[in-house]
Amino acid sequence: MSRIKEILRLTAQIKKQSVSMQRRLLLYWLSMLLGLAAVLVLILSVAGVFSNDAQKAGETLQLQLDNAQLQLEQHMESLDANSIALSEQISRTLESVLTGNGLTINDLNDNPELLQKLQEDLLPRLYMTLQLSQCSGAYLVLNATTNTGADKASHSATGIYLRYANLSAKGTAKQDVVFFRGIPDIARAERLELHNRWNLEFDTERFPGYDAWMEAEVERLADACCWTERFRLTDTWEDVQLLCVPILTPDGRVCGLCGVELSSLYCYLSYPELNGSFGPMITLLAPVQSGKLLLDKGLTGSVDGTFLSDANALAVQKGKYFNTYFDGGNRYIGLHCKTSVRGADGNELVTAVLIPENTYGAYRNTNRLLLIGCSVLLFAIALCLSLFLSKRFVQPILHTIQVIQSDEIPENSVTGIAELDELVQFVHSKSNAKTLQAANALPPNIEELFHTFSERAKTLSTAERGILKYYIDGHEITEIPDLAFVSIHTVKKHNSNIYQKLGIASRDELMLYIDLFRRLDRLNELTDCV
Amino acid sequence: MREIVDAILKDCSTREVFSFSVRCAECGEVWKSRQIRFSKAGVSPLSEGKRIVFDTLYQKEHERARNAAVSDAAESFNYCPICRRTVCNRCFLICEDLDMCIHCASQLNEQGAPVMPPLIEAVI
Repeated sequence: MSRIKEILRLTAQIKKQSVSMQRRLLLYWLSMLLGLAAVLVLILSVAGVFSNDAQKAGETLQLQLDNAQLQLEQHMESLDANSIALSEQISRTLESVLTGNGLTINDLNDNPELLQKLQEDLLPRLYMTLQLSQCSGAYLVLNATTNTGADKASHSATGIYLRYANLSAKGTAKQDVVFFRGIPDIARAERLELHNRWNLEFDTERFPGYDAWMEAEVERLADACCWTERFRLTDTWEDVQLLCVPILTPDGRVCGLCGVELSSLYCYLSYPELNGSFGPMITLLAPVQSGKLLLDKGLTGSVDGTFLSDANALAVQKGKYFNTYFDGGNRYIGLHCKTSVRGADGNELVTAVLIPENTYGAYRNTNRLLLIGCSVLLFAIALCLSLFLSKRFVQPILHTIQVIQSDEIPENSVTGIAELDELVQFVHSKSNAKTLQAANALPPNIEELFHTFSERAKTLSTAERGILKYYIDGHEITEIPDLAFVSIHTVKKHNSNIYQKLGIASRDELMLYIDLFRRLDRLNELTDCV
Repeated sequence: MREIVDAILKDCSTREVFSFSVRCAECGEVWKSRQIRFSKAGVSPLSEGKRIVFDTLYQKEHERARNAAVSDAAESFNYCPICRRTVCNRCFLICEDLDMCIHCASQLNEQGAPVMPPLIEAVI
């Protein structure tokens, strides 16, 4: 309370101090311009120009997440449909082959001729699925092996695995297909090149969940199909995820799997990063476990421009507009949401879009710097404008003050401001009046003069005083003869006597004395004598 | 003073010339105005209408000449406040308390100087 009183006292004291006109005007201008700037900022804020960066980032991420999820789900649904169709086609082919020969699925074991015949029949369909689907490979695997007596026969299964040799982002229309798994005679017959890591059969030990699939009971293919976790293809450097659709025997048992492959490289090429104002935006599909995005088990789009490693797991920290993801070293902002894509073992797959936090921070800092720079610039402009306007406004006033302060006041001084011109004229007239007053100033020995004149006036005769009275009353000499009933010569005679006695030389001098006596209100000294 | 002089002004005008005079009540000196010729002097009106015009013109010029004569005479005559006569400057004395004519001054034993010196002295 005492501090407030002290501030009020100081404010009152400051108000009492005189401030120069220009400074005061400068403050007014500055206040006005800053007020206008504040209104402008308010309007821009309402219009959303200065809206929260985080909110904008959140909105952008949400928009991109919706787009990415829609794109991913359409992609996955398309792959599901093609794979289910492939499975049904294989089941029918298998049924016709087995039923035609009176065999069961187990009879395929150790029957290379039949397996070759079967693969020859299935290859065109698999090839077509590969061509029709947006994927990097297609496969089918049957729970049978060419040689049950082999060492690894227990985890070896026959099948065909076709893959694109050289993936590019331009599409799959003219890309080479290589034979990764299957009977090589078929590849030769179809002029397909063998993969440099070709193998005759699948190693089911490396196939995630293969055994579980073979034990599974499937009612509807659409309900059963799901994606494996990401795993490294045997003897290659490539990570893939496989869509698994069970192949059913006529009696409804699972006798194999088929589907398509999405490799890391394919996802990298298919889902490029989006470069926006907040930085590169990455799309990924990954399972969630214990609140962490398991990138090592999911697929990631292009990560160019970031340090994101698909071997890590990202911890999630929820935020108001977006989440923060961090892998121990790097931090990202982003959003994720559940998808309809099913993962193996019932894992929940989510679509996520991420932006490196450092690029977002750089954007935010740039915006802040821009805002601060604009504010400083605006303030500087306001200051310069205030200085200019106040100086321009005050200049004629200061000039007028100088003119007034100087001795010589020009009669026709024009400043361009009507009030100032009036003031100059007023001062000019006052100055003139003072000059005239000074000119009419009484002589210093006035008292002595008055005394002498009064004494001399006492020597006038009664008749002469009568004439003097006419002069005191303001009459002209030509009027006196008619008033006094005497001739003008008589008046002149009196005049000469009066002049002689009063010691004056002319009527003007007489009138000057009369005026002096009147101005000093001492006319009675003359009239009393009269 | 003009009114007083106007009252005692004697008209000496003819059909040809306008002339006026004032006589000093003390010395008898006659003051005469300068003669002003009628603008139509010597011209006989040719018609009754012209005669009326000439008569009106005569009246106007006569009035103007009279006014001029009064103004001139007023410069030479004074009104004595004692005897209430109109006397010339030579018969009017500037006295101590009240200006008056020579006659009244002698009667009242007042001393004074005449406005204008007597004619004889002036001649001398």
